[in-house]
Amino acid sequence: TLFPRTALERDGFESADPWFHCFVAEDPGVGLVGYMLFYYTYSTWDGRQAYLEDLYIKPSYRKSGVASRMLKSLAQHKRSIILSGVSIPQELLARGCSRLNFSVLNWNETAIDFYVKRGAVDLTRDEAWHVFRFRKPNLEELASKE
Amino acid sequence: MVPMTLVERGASMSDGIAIREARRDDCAGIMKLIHELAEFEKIPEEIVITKDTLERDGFGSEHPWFRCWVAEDPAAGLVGFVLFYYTYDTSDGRQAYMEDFFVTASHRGCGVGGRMLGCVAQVFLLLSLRDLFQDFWDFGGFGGCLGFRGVVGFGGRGVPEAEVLARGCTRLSFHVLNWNRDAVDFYVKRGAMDLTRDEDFHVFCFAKHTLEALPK
Repeated sequence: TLFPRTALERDGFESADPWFHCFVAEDPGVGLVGYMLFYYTYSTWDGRQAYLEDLYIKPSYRKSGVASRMLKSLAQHKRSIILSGVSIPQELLARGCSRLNFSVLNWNETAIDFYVKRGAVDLTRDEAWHVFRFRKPNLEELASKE
Repeated sequence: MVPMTLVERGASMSDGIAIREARRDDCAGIMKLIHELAEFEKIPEEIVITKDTLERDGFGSEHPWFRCWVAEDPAAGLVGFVLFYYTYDTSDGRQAYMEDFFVTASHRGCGVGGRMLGCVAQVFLLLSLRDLFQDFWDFGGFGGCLGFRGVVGFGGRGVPEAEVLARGCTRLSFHVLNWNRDAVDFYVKRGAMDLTRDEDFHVFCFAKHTLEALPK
């Protein structure tokens, strides 16, 4: 099911305190060919962090360095640069973030290789961290018990 | 319906332990609990942040980096805390993530943890209500059909756009160390799912030096 465009517009662009930030890779004459959606988070050990929720590149643009440049642009704090007709804004360390976190499905070997090759650590494998989740009905039940 | 009184009052009293939103002057007490939690989790990393960092990032501006609720025993000071922040999912929208949830050893097993989690759940549901009313005015054309239907009991897929816009946080995510059986039991008993076990999600991170060294 498609997530409504209006919700993205409201949550990302209509307040001074957006729910997420989004960078896109644009090929002039073609349009958007990739995007990166992230938000700022917090660790009670090393403070300000960011979480990479989505990183997606259209199939025909993969293995051409676009994803790599997008990830790099996220890590740097220089102004936007234009390379080979693809322009990418840059941010993250300027805010004082000490880490970029994200989740990967363990069977997605292409993605895992991409990240591990660049120094990412699998905290589930190395430190036994598991991702848990409460869904809304659970939250409602928890709230009603008070 | 969501009981409003708890969050309106900003506190809950039970067995003498008050559960309330953290204030700036709680940061020293929260840091103490953070250190206890780190010891409990056997994590070798140095804790880099200080009371000043917490004050700056949680209470120093209009856009805090986190929210925090504490449990306070008048005789003992802060005995528990839950620290969380708002996140986003491109299929379900607004979410929340629970970064830390801890009750000091002497106060475990007497319901403090359960009550803290209940308070946080109410905050998320109250967020739904606030947005509901805001959206009603912003998107006037929906003609009052949002009502309170939008707050309770959403389906997953095929939810009408109006309801997606009206809902607040739909999920609360968090991490647990797999060997921490007490914590795992506590959450599973309340309906939480282990996405690592069930859906093969792995948690990754880039530390600062690897971010700086990212190749083009």
